[in-house]
Amino acid sequence: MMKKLEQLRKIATDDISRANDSKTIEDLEIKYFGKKSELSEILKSIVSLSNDEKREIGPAVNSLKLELFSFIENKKNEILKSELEIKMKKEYIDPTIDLKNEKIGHLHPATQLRYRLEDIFKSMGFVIYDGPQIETDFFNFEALNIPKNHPARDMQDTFYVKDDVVLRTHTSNCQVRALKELGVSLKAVVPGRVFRNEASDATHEHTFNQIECIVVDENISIANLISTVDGFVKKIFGDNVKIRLRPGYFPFVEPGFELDISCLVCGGKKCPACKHTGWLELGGTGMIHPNVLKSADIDSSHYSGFAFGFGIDRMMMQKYKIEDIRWSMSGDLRFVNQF
Amino acid sequence: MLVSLDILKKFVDLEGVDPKEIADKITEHSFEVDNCLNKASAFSNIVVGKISKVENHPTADKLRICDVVISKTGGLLNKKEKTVKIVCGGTNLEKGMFVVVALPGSFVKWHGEGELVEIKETELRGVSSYGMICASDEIDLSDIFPSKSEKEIIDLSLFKNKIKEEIKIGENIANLLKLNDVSFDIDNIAVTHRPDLWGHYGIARELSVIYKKDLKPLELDDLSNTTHTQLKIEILNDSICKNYNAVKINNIKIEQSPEWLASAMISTGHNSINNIVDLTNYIMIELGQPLHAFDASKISNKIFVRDGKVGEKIKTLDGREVELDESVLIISDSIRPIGIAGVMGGFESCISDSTNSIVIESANFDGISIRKTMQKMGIRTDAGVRYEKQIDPEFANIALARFIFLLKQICPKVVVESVQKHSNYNNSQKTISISFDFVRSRIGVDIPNLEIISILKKLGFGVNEFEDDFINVDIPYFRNKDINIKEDLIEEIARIYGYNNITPARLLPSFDIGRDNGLRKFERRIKDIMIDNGFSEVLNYSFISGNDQKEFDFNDNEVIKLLNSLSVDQDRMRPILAINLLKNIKSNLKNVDNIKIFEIERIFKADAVSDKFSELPFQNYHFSAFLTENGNNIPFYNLKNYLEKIFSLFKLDIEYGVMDEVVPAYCHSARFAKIFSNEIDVGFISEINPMLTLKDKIKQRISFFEIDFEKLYESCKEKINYESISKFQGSYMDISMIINKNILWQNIKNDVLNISPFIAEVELFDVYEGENIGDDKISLAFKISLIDKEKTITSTIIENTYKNIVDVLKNKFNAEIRQ
Repeated sequence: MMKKLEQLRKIATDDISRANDSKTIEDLEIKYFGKKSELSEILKSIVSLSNDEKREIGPAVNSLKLELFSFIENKKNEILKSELEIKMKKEYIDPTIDLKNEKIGHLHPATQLRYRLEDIFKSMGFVIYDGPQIETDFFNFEALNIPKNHPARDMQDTFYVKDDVVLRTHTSNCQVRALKELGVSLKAVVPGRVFRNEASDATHEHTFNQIECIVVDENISIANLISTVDGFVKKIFGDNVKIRLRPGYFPFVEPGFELDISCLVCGGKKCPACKHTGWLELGGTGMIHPNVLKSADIDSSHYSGFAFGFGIDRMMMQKYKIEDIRWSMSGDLRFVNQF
Repeated sequence: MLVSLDILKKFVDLEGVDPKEIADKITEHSFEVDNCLNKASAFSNIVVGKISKVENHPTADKLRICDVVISKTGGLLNKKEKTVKIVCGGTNLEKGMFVVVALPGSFVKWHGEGELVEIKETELRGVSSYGMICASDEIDLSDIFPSKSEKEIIDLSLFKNKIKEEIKIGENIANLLKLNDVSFDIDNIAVTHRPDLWGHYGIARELSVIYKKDLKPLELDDLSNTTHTQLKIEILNDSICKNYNAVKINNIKIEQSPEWLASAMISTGHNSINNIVDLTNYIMIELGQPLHAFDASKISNKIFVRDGKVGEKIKTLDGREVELDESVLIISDSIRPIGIAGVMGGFESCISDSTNSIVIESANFDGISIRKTMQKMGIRTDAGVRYEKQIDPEFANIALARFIFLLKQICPKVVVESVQKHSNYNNSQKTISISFDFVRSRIGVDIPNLEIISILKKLGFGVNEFEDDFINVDIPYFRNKDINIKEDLIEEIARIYGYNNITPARLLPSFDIGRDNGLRKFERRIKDIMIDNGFSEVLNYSFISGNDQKEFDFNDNEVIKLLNSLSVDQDRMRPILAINLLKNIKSNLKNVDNIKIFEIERIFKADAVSDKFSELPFQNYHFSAFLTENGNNIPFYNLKNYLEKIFSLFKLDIEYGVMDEVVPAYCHSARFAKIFSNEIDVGFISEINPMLTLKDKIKQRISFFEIDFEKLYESCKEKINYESISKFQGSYMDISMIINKNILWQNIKNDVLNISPFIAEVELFDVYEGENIGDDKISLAFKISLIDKEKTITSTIIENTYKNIVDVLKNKFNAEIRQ
């Protein structure tokens, strides 16, 4: 009997080893493990054996069965794998072919930049505030210490809707609005669209985007202004960028400053981009004029603050080296889809 | 405004200081200097040449080859000349002409534009050329040598009046034209708030503080040595004319200005005319106080300052006839107007070569009145602009004394009659009290008391300490206009101390992170969804034209018009975003077929008020998107699908209004639905009326929606009603039917949902129209999901529900159910 088992092992292993397609291996499975297989017959015949024989043959048969079973399973997997491999080879595709059925849309670069500015200011604890674009003369001018017939009105060519209603010329129109609505202490930024009645050219638009930053609290100083502006400039342009304040006149601040940053192209070494000065103008800033605080019913002997504002579009032009600002509002997808 | 370094040096010692550094220091401490114009260095290697021969260029029609003598040395017998060949395209080249030659190594502006370019020895079409013969705009001399065309080169001999001396070959142009001064170019806006800086003396004062030098006093005539006068003045409106000085001066001889005066004119961008006119202009640029000189023989002995009268006219110095009225303040004699006060003198009374006695007016006029007059006349004059800045009335007295002092130097024989004066202004001392601590806390730096006092004193303020910590600061007349409050003094101290010497100090940390702006956050999420779905964001102008308004059929009472527009194409505010977005579609269709764009910005309505900003017109943010695809005849559904993604993400309860809605003229009359979100009318979705694209020959269908973004946001509660997930298996059934086209799917769906509590969802998956089912019919197929939360749904329920649905569809909607 043991001899018979040994013979079976040899024949079966040889058969299985020779198999190399799934049909053959399925047939072999039936042949050696099916109900009518030799192994089944042997198992059935064990009943008629003596106890001693049972003790010897039983485990030997079981062990052979497990051995052959594992052997055929391994072989089966091997064959499956190689057959699949052949099938996959036939399923070759060119991964570089692109079928652009669904395209992604593009966010306007001015919006992208605005989001970035908003995020930076939000991380510095500022509230994002919004105001009207058609604005009263009061909030756009009077409340900002620019009375009628003030020569400073010449600085800002204004679109009028009525005698006392204008298209806002700056986001500073929200200084007094924000102070009135949100009160002190205030840290707010106002991004948005502003209008100037002047003909457009490659670097000037009659419609553009500004962002205004307002801080009012007790004991705010010029040193605080410098620190905040410097912190913001480094966040947006990088740690190497330096700022410079110089005297500048805006009726709604006192003192008022022009804010320059070191040239982003040459880093301050002087080049055509900065007109050989080493500096680029970023915007205007200053300590909020007591008359402006007064317009918002805030006691300027207790509170002081600063404001700064600058154009988002100019920043966009510098960042992407856009040669003509008029593309920005052309609605031309050849422009927008680059961003 | 051009500022001359030579004039500044008369008052403050700046010997040996680099002009560029001066410009930088002024920019750092006082006001922005745009440019430092150093003509002497700009003209290095640019010399006088004489053309000795002109030949045609062998291969270029428009070019000539010139022999140009560029230096001449030695005596009569031993002449040494250096002649070079220069290729030139000038149209007026002639043998014997004296020209301006830019030699290799010099810098010129190519065709008068852009950055400076270095001249090199070069070859032009095969002929070598040693330098360039210049046109005036190539070397920035258009002011002195005006040219008729770009191709016309400077012919020096034509400008004898500008060149006083003999023209020497080889001489540097800066020497020839006496252009050795340095001018600082200053944008008027930079000093608009400082009338004292509209004169060189004020700027010299700034420099004396910055460089810690003495400011030399102004030399003035004491007006004591005068003779009797017949001249009388009468000021009839002294609320506008706050100070008026007039003086008659005899024994005048009109001559060319002395060199210092002529040079001062050129350096500051004025033409040198004659000694008297130049001197009045000089006083203006020195002190900022305009003066006017009348020819005394051409006016009567009495001068009036009064309001103009309707019907009066005056011919002004620039030759214009100006009609006057009572809003314009004028100077007149007993007979007629002789000047528009503070703006421009009259033509008939002006100085001529034969003038031998003059009346000098040194006056102050109210800035606002002058500003209005200039706006009305549509001109801006040097004098008017200075009054507009509200120069202090005291300047008029000083300017007159200064004029007479200088006049006596250039015309020693003049006889000055006694000065006639009238004034009406408050010249009491203005004083501001300020504490040292206030100064330090507002600047944020520990500036010592002594330094604060020293800065203020150098700037011309009087400083008196009256308590431990307080000072009284007396404001000098020349700063009366711009120094009014403590903060103004803070600026004075801080800017001289140096803004860039201030150590930054961090704001006290605040623990609240910036509050969210809900609408802005919503905007970002919506834009992100649109982008993900392939829409690109465009930004359009807020303006439209009258034609746009007409095309989109808006009434005049709906649209806000500008009082002053840039052009008729942009003279009113857009009442919807779609107007400009349609233009975007039209222009982009020239490049691509498939377009998906959107915009979120404010629109403006004349017939509604803003609910957020009281007293202002309605100006909510709108949200509009356009979709068009080649071959897609109902892009409406594609667009609606994107919109519904947004609605479902934000859990909006949306109903479409179709039957009873008024369709705007620009919409397709049968492809239109109003959108109600939580029963609020937020906008509509439609297709552009083909009429609007007909003349552009656009055949593609264009779907779009226009939504009030703020209303949409408000209707959006984003409330999520979580329901526990059923453990039991649900079931699905498909129903397919044919119904009349005019029955709304929305109504069918709502009715079906109401049939049984087991119906969880009704979802359309196929729509078919075709001749084989009839023109007025539509085939709809939809899937119904059934679920029982208590147990596995039974076949009885499924069958009953199906039966009920079919009943409703047949009876209510007259549907033909397909098996």
